[in-house]
Amino acid sequence: MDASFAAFDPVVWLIFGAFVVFTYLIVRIFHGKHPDYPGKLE
Amino acid sequence: MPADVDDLVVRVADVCTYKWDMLRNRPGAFLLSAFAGGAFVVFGATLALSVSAGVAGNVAPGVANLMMGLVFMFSLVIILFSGMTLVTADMAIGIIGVFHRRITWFWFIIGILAGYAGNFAGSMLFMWIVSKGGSYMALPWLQQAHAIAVNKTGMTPVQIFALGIICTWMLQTAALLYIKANEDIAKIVMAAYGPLAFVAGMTEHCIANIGFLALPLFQQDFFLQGQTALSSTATVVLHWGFGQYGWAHNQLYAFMGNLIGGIFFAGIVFQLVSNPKRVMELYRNKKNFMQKL
Repeated sequence: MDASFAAFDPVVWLIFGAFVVFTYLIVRIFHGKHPDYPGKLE
Repeated sequence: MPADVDDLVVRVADVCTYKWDMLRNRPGAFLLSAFAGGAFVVFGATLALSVSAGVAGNVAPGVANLMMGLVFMFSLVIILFSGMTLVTADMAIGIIGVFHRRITWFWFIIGILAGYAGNFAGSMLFMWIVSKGGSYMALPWLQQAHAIAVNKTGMTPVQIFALGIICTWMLQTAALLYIKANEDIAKIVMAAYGPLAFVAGMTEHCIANIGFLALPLFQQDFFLQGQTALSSTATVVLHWGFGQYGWAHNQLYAFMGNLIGGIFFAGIVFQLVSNPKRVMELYRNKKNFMQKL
C-alpha cells in the first residue's frame, strides 16, 4: 500500500493535534480572562 | 431583526443546553434524533445521485455539482426545522456551550461520539434500503455512484482533510446563521445555503460521505457485472477499510477535517467575535437557559 494513504498521515495528525491543544488553550485563556463568564446560570 | 452576534452565542448556548440535557436524561431520544438526522442527510445524497447520473462533464464541468447541491440543500433545512441531531452541527454548538460553561469537555466529547454513532446508523440503514431499490441498479446510477466514491476515496489524506475543514466551515456558519435568523424564510435560506455550498463546492462531509460511499459499496457486485460486460479496462474496486479507495480512509480524514472546520472556524470564531461584557449583561436578566432548535 502506498504510504501516503495510510491511516496515520503524519501531516494531518500533527495539524489535528495542534488544533486540539490550541482549542483547549483558547477556552482556558478565555475563562482565565473572564472568570465569571457568562454570569448567572441556574 | 435578526439577533446580533452577542445574542446569537447566548441562543446557541441555550440550544447546546437543550441538546446535551437530552443526551444526559434521555439518551435513547438523543440517539434516535441522531439516527433520523443521519438519514435526513443521506436523503440529500440519494437525490444528488439521482439527478447527477449521466450528466456529461464535457457539457460544463461543475453542472453536475450544481445540480447535486440544489437537491441536497434541503437536507439541513429538514434537520434543523425538525430539531434532529447532526454531529457536525453539534461540533459548533457544543464548543460554544463549553465557553458558556453549559457542558464540560467530557460531555462535549461524549455528545460528538454519540451523535456520530446515531448519524452513522441512520445513514447506513437508509442507504442499505436504497441499495435494494431497483431504480438505482440501472447502469448510469451505478456508474455515477461508483465515480463519486472513487473520487472521494482516491484522494490523499491531506486532500480529504482540507476539504473536510472547508465543508464544516461553510456548513456550520450557515447553521449558526440559521439560529441567528428569526423568520422562517430567513431560516430556510440560511439552512439551505450550507449544504448547497458544501456539495456544489465538492467538499467532504463525514455523514454525507457515509451514504455517498456506502451505496456503491453495497451495489458493487452489480456495478462490476455491468462494467465487465461493457468494457475490458480495469475498474477500481472499492473497499470498507483504510487505504486508497477505502470507506474508512475517507471517513477518518473527513471527520478530522470536519471537527476543525466546525469547532475552530465556525464556533470559536463566532464566540470570540461576541463581546463578553455584553453577553454577561444578557445573562443578568436571563431566566430561560434552554432553547429547542
